[in-house]
Amino acid sequence: MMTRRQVMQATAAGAGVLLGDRILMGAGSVAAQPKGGNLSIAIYSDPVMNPVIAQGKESNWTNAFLFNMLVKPSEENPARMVPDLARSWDISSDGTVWTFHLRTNVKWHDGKPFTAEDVKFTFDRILDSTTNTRLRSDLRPIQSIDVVNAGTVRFRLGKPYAPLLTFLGYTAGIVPKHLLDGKDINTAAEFNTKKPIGTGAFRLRSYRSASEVVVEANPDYHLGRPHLDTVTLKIVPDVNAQIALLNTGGLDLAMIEPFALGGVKGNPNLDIVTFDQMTWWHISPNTTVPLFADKRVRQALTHALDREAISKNVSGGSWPVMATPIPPFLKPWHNPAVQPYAYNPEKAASLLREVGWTKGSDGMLQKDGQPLKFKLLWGRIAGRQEIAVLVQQYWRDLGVDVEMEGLEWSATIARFVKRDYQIFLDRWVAPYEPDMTNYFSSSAATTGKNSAVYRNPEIDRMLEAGRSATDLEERKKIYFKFQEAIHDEQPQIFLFWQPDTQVRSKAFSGIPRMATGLGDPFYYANEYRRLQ
Amino acid sequence: MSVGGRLRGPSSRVPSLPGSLPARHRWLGRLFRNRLAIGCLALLILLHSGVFLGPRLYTASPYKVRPIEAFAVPSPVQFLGTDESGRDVLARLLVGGRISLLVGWSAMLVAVALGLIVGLVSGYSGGRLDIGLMRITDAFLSLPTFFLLLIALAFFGGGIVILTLVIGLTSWMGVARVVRSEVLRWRSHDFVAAAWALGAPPWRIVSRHIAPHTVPSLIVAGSVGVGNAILTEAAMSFLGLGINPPTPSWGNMLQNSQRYMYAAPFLSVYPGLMIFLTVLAYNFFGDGLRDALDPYSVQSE
Amino acid sequence: MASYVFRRLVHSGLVLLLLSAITFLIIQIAPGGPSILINPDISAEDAQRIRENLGLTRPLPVQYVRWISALLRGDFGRSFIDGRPVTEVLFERLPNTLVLSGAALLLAVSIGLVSGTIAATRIRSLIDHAVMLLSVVGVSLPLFWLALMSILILSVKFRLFPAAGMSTSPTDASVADRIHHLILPATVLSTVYMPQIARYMRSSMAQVLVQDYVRVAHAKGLHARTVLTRHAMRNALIPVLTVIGLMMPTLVGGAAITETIFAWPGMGRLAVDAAFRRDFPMIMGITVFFSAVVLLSNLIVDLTYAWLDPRIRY
Repeated sequence: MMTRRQVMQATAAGAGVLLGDRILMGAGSVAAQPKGGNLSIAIYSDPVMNPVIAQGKESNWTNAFLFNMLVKPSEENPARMVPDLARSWDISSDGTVWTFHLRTNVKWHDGKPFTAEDVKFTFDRILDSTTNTRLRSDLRPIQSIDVVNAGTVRFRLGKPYAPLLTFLGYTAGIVPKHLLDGKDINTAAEFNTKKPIGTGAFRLRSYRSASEVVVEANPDYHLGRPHLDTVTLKIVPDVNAQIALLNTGGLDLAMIEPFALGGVKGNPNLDIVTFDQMTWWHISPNTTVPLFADKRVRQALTHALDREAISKNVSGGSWPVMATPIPPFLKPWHNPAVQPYAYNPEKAASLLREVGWTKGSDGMLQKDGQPLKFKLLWGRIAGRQEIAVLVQQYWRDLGVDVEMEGLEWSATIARFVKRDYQIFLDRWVAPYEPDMTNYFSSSAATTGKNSAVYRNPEIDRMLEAGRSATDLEERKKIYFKFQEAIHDEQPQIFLFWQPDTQVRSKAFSGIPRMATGLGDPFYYANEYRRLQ
Repeated sequence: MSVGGRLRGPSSRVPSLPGSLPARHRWLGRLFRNRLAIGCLALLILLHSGVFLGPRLYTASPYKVRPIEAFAVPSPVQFLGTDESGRDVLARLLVGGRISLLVGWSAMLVAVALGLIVGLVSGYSGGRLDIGLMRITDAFLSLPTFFLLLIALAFFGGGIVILTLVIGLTSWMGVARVVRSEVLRWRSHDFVAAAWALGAPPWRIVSRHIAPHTVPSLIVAGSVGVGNAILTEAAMSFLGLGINPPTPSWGNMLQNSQRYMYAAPFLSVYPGLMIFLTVLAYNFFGDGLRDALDPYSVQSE
Repeated sequence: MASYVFRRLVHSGLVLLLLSAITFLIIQIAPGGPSILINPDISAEDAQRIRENLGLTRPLPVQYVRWISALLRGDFGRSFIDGRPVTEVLFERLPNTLVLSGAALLLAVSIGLVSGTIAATRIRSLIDHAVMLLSVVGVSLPLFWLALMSILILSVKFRLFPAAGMSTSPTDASVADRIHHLILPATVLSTVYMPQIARYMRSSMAQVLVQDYVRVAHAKGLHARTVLTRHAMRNALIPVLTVIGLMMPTLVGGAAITETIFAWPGMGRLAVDAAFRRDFPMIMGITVFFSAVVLLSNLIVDLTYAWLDPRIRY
């Protein structure tokens, strides 16, 4: 007599091994969860598969599967770094020398061993001014990288640099020296677009331009072969197409903005999950423009906005209004005593009156015969128009004549880089790190993300101190003071935080509860499983 | 390419009843008997007066935002409801219609003006000038106009002026050929020879004696041209390159609505419908006119 | 005949030169550099150095001449965005567009010719009016609106067709799957061409059908279908061919929008992306390549005339 299992296996032929497996499991066997399967993720455009020069989300996500960093954000608290390629590290007593002890059993996808030479090579390239990389500004304090031996690498800094670990774990993947040495990394198309070799849990199987990137499990991954067989990153530029694919099962995971979530609500196979991430919306007045040099004007403009109402309109209220760029979920750095400005148009009007702006007969503000008007620059992507339109209305009610300059994205960024604007609406994505030097320090006024072109020596001192502090309590105190100061100064008109909204298929387990903004959850891709 | 002896579609069609050409000057009468064309004309007049006069009657602002009232359903105050920022949809349709029609007409006028000049000069002069101009026309015909539009708009930013210029500069060729063939047809008539014998300068012959005969064909080309220009503006706005927000146009309203297809699908129906009906009316009218001009050609009913 | 072909080729070369010059001027004059320089973290000096590396700081005529001479050697340069050779990317995407446009054209031509012929043989009947009505409707519909509506209704609501992409996954890309993915975009795209073809076929066929030689054929007792196919069709096709030839330049235009909405990895979408990202070499490459295709297809159409109508001689 055949067992049920044998009968099933005999008849299961084309219809499915899966079917058989399910029946096997149902038959009460303590089977291991089935290996294999594919996860499909949506990205918006073609990635550049080299973490040193990569810039957009699509590249960060793809590279998270293919490459490792020295450290990565932990699943429980993304502000805390855990080992990735570095298994441990020591800091010298004066805080200027960091020694990283690397894992020794790691191999590149082409079989060659990973060593400290690769780490040195990667960071040398990042610090090289001819490399077109986003990473340099955060890692500039590194003076030199030395190879102590094959498994140990030493970073030397000029002075203590507290955020170093965070920035080392902020999309700073390690690339192989033996393949890129001697080449111009910016144009190494063979590596960047055809044969990227990393140490990651997955290696590239195929890439069809504008179609998809398929990565397959790396059997020699130092943490063991991933459970999934493949991950497909489908290039779907249109959010509606992404929703359609999510609904039909063509996609398993995508980052969808709140207004479009209606398309997937009610689908029993999909989960909608929200995670905090360091993405904040701001309107940056160019403080070198005389109008915006006085902080009372900036404060008035903030008071004039009903940010709750704007958030409600563009996100259904899921985007919390922000007080400073250090959010409540960034513990222990958040200063709870600093509260967002209230919506108070009268206060706004009186602040402007102090500076000399009074309402003329046409209801618009003017001073010495000149009207209060300026051009608001924003790029025509991802939700900026909706916010700009509302902001314009609130400021118009205040008596300010706001002219809209909604340009196409390339043109917008070209203007931004030259700081050729009066006031600029945009959104920053940052790692979980209180160091805001790149956003508010004079050193970043013209290069870097200091969109307000803000120069304040006291803030500079605070930021510098915060970076170099070695004691946690001391750092905390400094950042608490920083939040008070920046709140008062309002170099940027802070709008709100945008959490990450992910749509996930319920058929998977092991995907960490982390925001996708920088690709963090994908550094744990070796743990994902597909449930059938 | 103008190579002799080759048939090229409707602009040089073979007369089907040899020896009898329809009485051209009676085209107006024939047009008015075509009910579909007249109906479309009426619709167009309604549409145009609607978008230009409408905002005086329906005074809701197309720009005022009311975040609380986003995606409101139609009501006595807001006839078609509101969009994602709480703006009145009907008001935006009306003002957007102005912009879309403005672009349509301006682009068409540019194209027609250019085509008219080229066609008149080419047809009347003959010889080298004719061949040269026709070569240029053919060269422009093989340009990938969509690409040029794309590149010009992407690089120079959108806006009414650029749109008008680029659409106009890439759609004059058809007009030129039609005009040229008309000129060729009329130039050998006796009254032209008489005028020439009387010493009239070429430009006067062309402008007073020949050009008026091209008017009906121009109207046909213009009618279809407006429709095409509106569609092109909509397509470019859809890609994000046309009219810059927050100025509404039917095209960029359609583009905006795309993000909210799941939250408010009707937002994409209204502007799409307006574009469709307008272009349809222009096309039907143009057809009717073409039939009125040459009723024995089998373009018509 | 040979001299005619030669003259045409020379003429086409000149057109290409003109076009490349126009395109080159546009992208150089306009503000904003390539997308790759769009990095808020690099300093102005770094940006300048990268510009030098990319050859953007040389005087305009020099850049143009270098580009042309490279082109003549078959080197279209490398994309600014990821450094891949332009020709490589072009040829990777070209088959996808050919498949889509080819299917659309095939659909449009077959349905268009057939419906046009039927309308012509039953002129002024209900069918005729219906065909004409539908054709005007087809020409007036905004393409992207039709595409969006069809995805919304046929793909999302009724799950009849996939919403995007060329195949379900690169491994699951059977012919049946690919065809399934092709149906919706190709049908949507064919609505751009179908109406025109139907109308011109109708008018052309109707004119032919009243010709004397057709009457003679009927009088001889030939079956109506034979008359149609053997005698009338050849002559009726000629003007229609013109129209099809004139449609070639719009082939990629409509395809660009369709490809963007359906996430189809074709050349049209490549052009849109390149324009947005200011990828100069790619833009130049696509424009020139595509125009060459159009010019060549025009030549082929003209040569086909000669084959169809023995009266035509070059």
